[in-house]
Amino acid sequence: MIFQIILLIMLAYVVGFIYFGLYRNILARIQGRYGPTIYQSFYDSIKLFSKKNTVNYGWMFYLGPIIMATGAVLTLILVPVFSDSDFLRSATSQGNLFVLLYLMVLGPLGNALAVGTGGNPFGVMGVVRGLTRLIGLELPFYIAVVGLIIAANSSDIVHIIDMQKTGGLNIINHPLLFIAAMISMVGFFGESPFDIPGAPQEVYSGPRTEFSGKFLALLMSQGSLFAFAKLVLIIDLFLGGADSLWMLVLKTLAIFVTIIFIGVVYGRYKVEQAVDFLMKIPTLIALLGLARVIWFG
Amino acid sequence: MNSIFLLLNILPILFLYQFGGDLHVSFSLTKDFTLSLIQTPLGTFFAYLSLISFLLVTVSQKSKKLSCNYYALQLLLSFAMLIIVLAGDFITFFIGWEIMTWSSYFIISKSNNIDIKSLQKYILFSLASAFSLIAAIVISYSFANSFDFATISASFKSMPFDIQLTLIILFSLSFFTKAGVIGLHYWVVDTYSKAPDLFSSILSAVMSKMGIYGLFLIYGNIVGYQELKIMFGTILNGTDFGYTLAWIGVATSIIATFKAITQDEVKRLLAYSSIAQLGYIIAVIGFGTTYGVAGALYHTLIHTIIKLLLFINVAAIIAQTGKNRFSELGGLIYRTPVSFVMLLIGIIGLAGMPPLGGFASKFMMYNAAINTKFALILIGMLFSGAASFLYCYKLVYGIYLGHPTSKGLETQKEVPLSYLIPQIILALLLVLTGAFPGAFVKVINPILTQFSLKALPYDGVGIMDSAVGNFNGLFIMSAFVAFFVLILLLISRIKSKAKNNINRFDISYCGEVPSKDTSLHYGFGFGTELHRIKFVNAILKRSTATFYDALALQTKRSSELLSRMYYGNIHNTMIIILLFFSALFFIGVNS
Amino acid sequence: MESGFHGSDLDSSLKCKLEESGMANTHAIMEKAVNWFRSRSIFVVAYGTGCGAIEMPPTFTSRYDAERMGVVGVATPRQADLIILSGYLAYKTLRRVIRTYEQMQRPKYVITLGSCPINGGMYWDSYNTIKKLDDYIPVDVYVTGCMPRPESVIEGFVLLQERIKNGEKAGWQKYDENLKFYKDNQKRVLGGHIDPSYETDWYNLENGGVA
Repeated sequence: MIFQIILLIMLAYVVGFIYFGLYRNILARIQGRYGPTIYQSFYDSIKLFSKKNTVNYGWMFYLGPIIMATGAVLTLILVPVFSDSDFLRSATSQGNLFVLLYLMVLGPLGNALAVGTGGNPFGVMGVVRGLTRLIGLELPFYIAVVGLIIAANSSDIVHIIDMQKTGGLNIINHPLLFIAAMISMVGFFGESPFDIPGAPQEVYSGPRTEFSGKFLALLMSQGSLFAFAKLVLIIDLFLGGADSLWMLVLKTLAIFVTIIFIGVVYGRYKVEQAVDFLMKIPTLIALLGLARVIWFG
Repeated sequence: MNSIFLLLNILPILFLYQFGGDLHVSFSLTKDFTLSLIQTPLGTFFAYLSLISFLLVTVSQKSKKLSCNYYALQLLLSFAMLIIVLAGDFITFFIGWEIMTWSSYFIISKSNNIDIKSLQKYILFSLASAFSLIAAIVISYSFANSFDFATISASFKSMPFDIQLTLIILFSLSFFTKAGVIGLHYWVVDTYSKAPDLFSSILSAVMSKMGIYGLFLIYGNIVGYQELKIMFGTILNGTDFGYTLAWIGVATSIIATFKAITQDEVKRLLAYSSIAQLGYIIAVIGFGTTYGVAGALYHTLIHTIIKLLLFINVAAIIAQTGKNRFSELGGLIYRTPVSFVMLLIGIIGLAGMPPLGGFASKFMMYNAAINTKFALILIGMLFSGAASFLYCYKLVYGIYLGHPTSKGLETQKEVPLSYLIPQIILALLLVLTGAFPGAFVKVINPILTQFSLKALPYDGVGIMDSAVGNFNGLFIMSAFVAFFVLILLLISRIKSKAKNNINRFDISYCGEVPSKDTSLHYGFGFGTELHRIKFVNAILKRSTATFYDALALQTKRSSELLSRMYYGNIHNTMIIILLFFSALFFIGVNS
Repeated sequence: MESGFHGSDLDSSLKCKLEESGMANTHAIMEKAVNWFRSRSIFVVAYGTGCGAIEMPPTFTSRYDAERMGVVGVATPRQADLIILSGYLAYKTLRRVIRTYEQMQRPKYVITLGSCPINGGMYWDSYNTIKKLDDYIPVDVYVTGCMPRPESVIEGFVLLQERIKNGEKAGWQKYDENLKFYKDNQKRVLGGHIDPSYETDWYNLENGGVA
């Protein structure tokens, strides 16, 4: 079990970082640039880890990124990676979808404490923007997830995957829920138009303003782990999971690239605009999908 | 003084532990009226809950110099609550209810910052609650010819439907007022925030739970969940009744959550948060399913723990600093580190995050909503949970993080030990309920049997099991701790000099250097953005105060109108009153 | 200053240990590898002083794309490795620049654009600009030209990357070693209106300068 967990974390780390390298490349190509190498995130991470000094505002500041990383790792090990084999799935039976929904916020909230301890008002503004955005962002996602849970009558992710083997993929059965969840996912990945918390031209770097050196490196590493976990969660819920490593890469990449493409073409909303938007169109789409689930199964 | 009353608080717990289990005492008042105390599993649960809460609060009151009669009133209140939860008939129940109202009224009036208006609000709403209760009791007596719970319950089925409905509404109104359902919560916020700081914890953690106990008593014991299902039809997989109640609860929860975020006073935020959390309980209490009742009970326990913890914590900070607003506090984390950790545990529980007990109770309630397919209710609860992160963060940031905003905070000392001990016990409880969510199943199951519902499955102490998913609290807790320690070790091994205890003004501030006069604490800016969001603003700009103010105005005007009838001659007025009542009498006789 | 901030940075005790166990060679290889990674990833805080600020957007965007060499702009000095000062510095600006520089985490580098930071340029007799920036904070690479084209700026990046890769002694090490020299100079032009530095006590450098 422990071996599998370590393997999973390593896999997620590598895949997550390469995806972020890829992300920067795709972004560059869209903007008519060459872009960095695909391993650029590794370089950044190693450089940050080998910084010679790091500011630290006290123990809570020190622990914040660690809580965030813990949240990401926990999320990761609770998501079933493969649909058919029990490989890398050793811990998934210990939790369920609700645990995941809450674990996904535990890390950021832990980090928010560190940001508050750092005492930078810009950091806190970023956190507050993030939490306010969450009000809107979670709503369509929750509706989508609740729709799936009601359809499967279970909050067990493995059960939801198994349902799709016989009953068809959820993306086909519940396309509206998928669209709503994807709109939320754009925000969860910090993409435009919902990249409000860390908006560089407005609030410095938002929550990351005071983090440097190894803390920043840790935040980046957990970010890639977390991104991988979210991608796997989405393909588990809507695309029936992946039965092999290739399918896993293919499906997660498809979702990831879609999210990038959406993010690249939009400007940034103000926080109230974002919440207003999320409470209108995506919520409406999701509610229609939900109504379909409840009345037509 | 404190230690004497501490002992007096321990005594009933010992008594209940020693002689409890099957307590049945009755005392004949006259031939017809009998006061009786019957111990039910439900009552026992609430009795222990309230008694232990009182004990913990009394421990934390050690450092306050309180008078003897304050303690005596508090003891009386504790006694009244014990009567309520052990009552076997409505007369005993009502006696307990009234003692509770009056003793708490006197305690609240002892507060330093109470004003007459808040007191009036409290007593008016308490009286309204009591009137509604006594009306319901009298109506049920007229049909059952008894005040006994069992007799009324037996004859309830034979009552006509409109009487049944009236009874349920009257009882519900009475208990809703106590629990602070939105619309009837007008007294809650003022009273909680202006009551003596430590007493607020009792108001929020225990007294509001008496409303919940009352609802359980009515829905579960008197009416019976099966009967409710028959009375009102079914919708989706649940009952119409449960669905209506769930919407009331969810609305309460969402509205109070948004209101909480915008508060500047610490205790007002907690008061709104208390309303919101009770909204969750009310949302699932009417489902009448195993998970609904279990979720409501579990959340009752967790909310009691959390609110005791938070209110004691905040009371300690207020006592220590003399400040009670977010705009006056801040930056206390390294001054009062233990308090900070306790509050942190409290808010993680309040937000319902997984490693702690808050998640287990929320999970149970979510399960209840899935079972009945009340998707919108579930979404409402999840949504209100997501919004509650904001006030949780405001609570911890405004007090402990950021920068100190008034003089004296930088040299603050840790709060006295008497405040910390109950907090540590409660935090431990929260950790334990998180790690062993299954342990509570054994407490709930007898109550479920009492309501003739199916018992919860028990799969081990660490596992919370349900038909629609389970989770292993012990695994999640231990994995969290393990990974946390592992990552901490890894990070601390990295040779990157972390310069400790850096000056709080040494922040990236666009090349500028902030000084003591720079406003760096963002605490009181929280929630202003919410006004710009249309949907949220629609909630925030409305207030029940307008309704009640209008009501007060109308009452005043009509009583002015009435007073005009008295134009100086007492005889004429008396004749008018006499005529009025005789007219009423004849109408009554004729019909 | 704390000893940890000096020179070749690994704690001296650790160095001794490594030498004892014959791992000094490994350590050297590690250091080389790390230096390579450092050279491949440079976070820049672009401090737009003077007219050169306009040259930075093209350097970082589509036309010249500094990101392909791992040079990326960041918003805060905490995360930055490199500060680009793009022109003349008035005393008022210098104060903020010093503050920003001191908030950056070691290793950190400075690139200046144009001739003004070298000798004052056309502001050589101005009453309120500094003439030689190297007296106040250590400059690693001067990119010449008035103003330098983005190609030149990129050439400056490449030069800096080479020096990082070779592990050459950089400006920040000089700054830490000759703190008194720099602080005295700063004090001379900024006078009494010096911002608190928090890392070092400007007024008590004789006592070691630890705040």
